[in-house]
Amino acid sequence: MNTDKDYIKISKEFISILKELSHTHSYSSKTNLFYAGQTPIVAYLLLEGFIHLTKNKKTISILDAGTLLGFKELMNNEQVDADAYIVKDTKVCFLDKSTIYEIFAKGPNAPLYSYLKDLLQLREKSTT
Amino acid sequence: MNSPTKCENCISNSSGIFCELEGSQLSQVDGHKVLNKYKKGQTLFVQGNHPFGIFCISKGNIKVTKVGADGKESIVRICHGGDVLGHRSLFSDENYTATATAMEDSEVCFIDKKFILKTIEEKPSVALNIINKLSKEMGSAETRLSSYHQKNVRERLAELLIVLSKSHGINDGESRTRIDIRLTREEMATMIGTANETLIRFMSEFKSEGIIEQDGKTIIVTDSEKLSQWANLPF
Repeated sequence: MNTDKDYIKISKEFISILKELSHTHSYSSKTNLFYAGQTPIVAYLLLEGFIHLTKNKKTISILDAGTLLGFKELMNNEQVDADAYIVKDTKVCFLDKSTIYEIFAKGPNAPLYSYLKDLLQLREKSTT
Repeated sequence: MNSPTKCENCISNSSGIFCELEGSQLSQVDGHKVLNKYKKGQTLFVQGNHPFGIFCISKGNIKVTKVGADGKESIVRICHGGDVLGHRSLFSDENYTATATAMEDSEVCFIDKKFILKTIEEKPSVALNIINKLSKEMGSAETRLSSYHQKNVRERLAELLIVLSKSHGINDGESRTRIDIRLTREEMATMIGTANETLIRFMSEFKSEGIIEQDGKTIIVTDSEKLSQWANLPF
């Protein structure tokens, strides 16, 4: 999560597929999702509302609907370099490791397989 | 891809829920877990939010607190290495009813719900270990509940010190137990349901009676026999 490219925007088509794989949840209060130096415990797809990314208590980015946050860090066990907190009443759906492994295990014909693989490979290429 | 510390090398593995698993079974847990370090004051989860897995503590102390309608925070329990967190909400399919916060720099693994349910189906020992932990927690909660009704503040404080010396006690010489956890007076007061001032008064009494000593913020139990008498424990 070091560049703007890392904030992945998901198309409406893929959002509806992801929503079927996970439940939608609304946050009842402002909550820290993760802290700088940690690996996100799930990936978050923002459906409504905002997530703030902060460094040294300064907001460096505000993410809005359609953003997939923490996916590459989760799957690569990488640490993020910013804190993230979610604003009250923001709606998200979660993608945990098991769900992502299930998609990969279904093979290339499964919805999202190529899309998610591409996201990971893009990351690997950019870091090599 | 970075590799987090393996479960087999975890310092709390022997007291954790996966302690009976070996080899490839533990490797599966390694592949699904997310290991994170939490600094003092950072939250693992917040009351009212949705649970999506369980947290296994590898190192450090985590306090579980509830915030009342008046905004006051009270400590429900303190968890340490080998304990799990978030399991009750996960299995009851409810939102978190409490907040978990690191009391010191801690290492905690997260395991998602799908994987933990699958593991429970395949490995009954994991389910039994979780049941064992839930049973102990329920026992502690029942004891605390009855203490609120049946014991006075002095007895409740003595009981709290016994519980802490069992869970966090380090032998500090002849019949002396150093309680290796730093709690503020306010935190201790909420744990026994009393006011700050009352707790401080009784702490002074315990010290003047030679039951406890203080080394900075650390409490040392110097007379455990008398402490048990003051706790009025049923034997």
